[in-house]
Amino acid sequence: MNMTTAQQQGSGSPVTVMKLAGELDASCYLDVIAAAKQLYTQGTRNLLLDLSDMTFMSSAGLMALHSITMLMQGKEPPNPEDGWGAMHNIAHDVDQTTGFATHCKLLRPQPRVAKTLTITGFDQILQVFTDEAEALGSF
Amino acid sequence: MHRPTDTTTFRGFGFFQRAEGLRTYQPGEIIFAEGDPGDFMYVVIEGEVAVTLDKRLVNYLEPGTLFGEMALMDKRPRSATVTAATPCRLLPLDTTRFQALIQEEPAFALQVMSIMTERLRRFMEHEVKRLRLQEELNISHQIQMSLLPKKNPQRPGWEFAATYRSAQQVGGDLYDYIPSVHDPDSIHLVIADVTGKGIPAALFMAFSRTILRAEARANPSPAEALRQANRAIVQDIDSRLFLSAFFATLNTQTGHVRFANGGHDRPMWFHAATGVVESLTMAGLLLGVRANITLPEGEIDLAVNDVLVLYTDGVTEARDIRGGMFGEERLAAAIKAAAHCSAQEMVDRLAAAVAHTTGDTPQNDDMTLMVIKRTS
Repeated sequence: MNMTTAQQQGSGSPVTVMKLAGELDASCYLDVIAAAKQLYTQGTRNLLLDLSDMTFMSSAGLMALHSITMLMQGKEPPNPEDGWGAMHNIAHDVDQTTGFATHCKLLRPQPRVAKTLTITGFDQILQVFTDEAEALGSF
Repeated sequence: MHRPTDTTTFRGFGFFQRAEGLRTYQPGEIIFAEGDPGDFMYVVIEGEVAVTLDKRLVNYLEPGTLFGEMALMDKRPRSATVTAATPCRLLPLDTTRFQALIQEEPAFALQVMSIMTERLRRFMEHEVKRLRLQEELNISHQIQMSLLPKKNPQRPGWEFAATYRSAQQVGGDLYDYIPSVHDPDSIHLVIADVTGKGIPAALFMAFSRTILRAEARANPSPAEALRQANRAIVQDIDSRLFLSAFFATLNTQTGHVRFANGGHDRPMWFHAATGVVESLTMAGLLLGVRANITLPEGEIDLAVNDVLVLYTDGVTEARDIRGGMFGEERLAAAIKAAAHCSAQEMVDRLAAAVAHTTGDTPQNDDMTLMVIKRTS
């Protein structure tokens, strides 16, 4: 899994765009969480995950997405060492009308990953965009 | 990286520092390798060496320690590889010199014995831990197997078959047949996949099974059963896991199926009349993520010779040696090819199709398959 970040400007605030390339599975999901944590420590409060080059996402990847969402809300995600930590209830920092998380969004998932997001219902929690400008403007 | 160090240094070290025959090694030089015949033991005079077993670092020796004594004693091949970590000077001692030393310096013999005792003790502790863990896994496996259905349901006009294979000794997949308390002709079919593997997933699976059974009893509607189960999972326990779950209620008199899907892989429906395999698509969300969820409910009617196949992603995401995945298309094709067989035969053939693809590649996720076939 290859990760690269870039700083962009949202409609009102800066947005960090983190591009994930390759497969997101059990072998690297912890690295992705660590990278997001690092970004948060460095001041990132809005995160757009560019999934255009992500070819596959396993359930570990879902854990990562969820942990990253919690991180962006300023919460400590559960310790993965405790056995695949995940969430309890992402009720906070959620748009009350749409139910989407406000500080973490997804960009251009590939069809296979998009299908996983739909089947698992994660596309009801993390808003998915196909256009980068529109995604940035939503923050 | 934490380096284990051997702190059993040799007293009377000065004797060795002055000895003749010291050998010098450069960093990275292998002093001896696993499996080599052994003629010398070594005293580390200067520098540091790394002891590795199967490429894993097991010890790190500093000046004043010794190594290689085992081969000298029992004449068997080297049990580990020792590599110079820094430039170092070692004193090799062959059998003759070793024996002379023991006679001249009794303290030396005692020192060697105490070093070996220390090493043996450490090894035994490690072994005990490993055996204990193995035993716990065995027990956990037995408990888990006892939670899965012991047999497939028997209903006239229907065949039920299933298979479950965990990637480790215990797994996070779950499948269940629950007789309906609301209608004697109906039976609930459940398949679920806890995120993760191993013991935490297995424990969560046990909990989820109980919750799903309870909610199946309390709620006639599959969607409501999952909604309530979801709420219980989110609120009642400090759960750190979540699960995908598909829940269906089958009326064995009519073939009518009501179902809801909590983020699980889409079951496949083989239509006998057309030979088409259809994926049951129904929106949903993984259970354990949000306290309040809306789950739509679907309905289908299974005709005679129709087959319903439920599975977990351990099937569709099973990898072959080249990293490709078994996939939904291959599963659909395998279902179509085997649909004329009995449910049990179908399960066996589908499992074999996956095994054929993965070959020797180790199973990386739990795999579950359920086949429900209407025969009349």
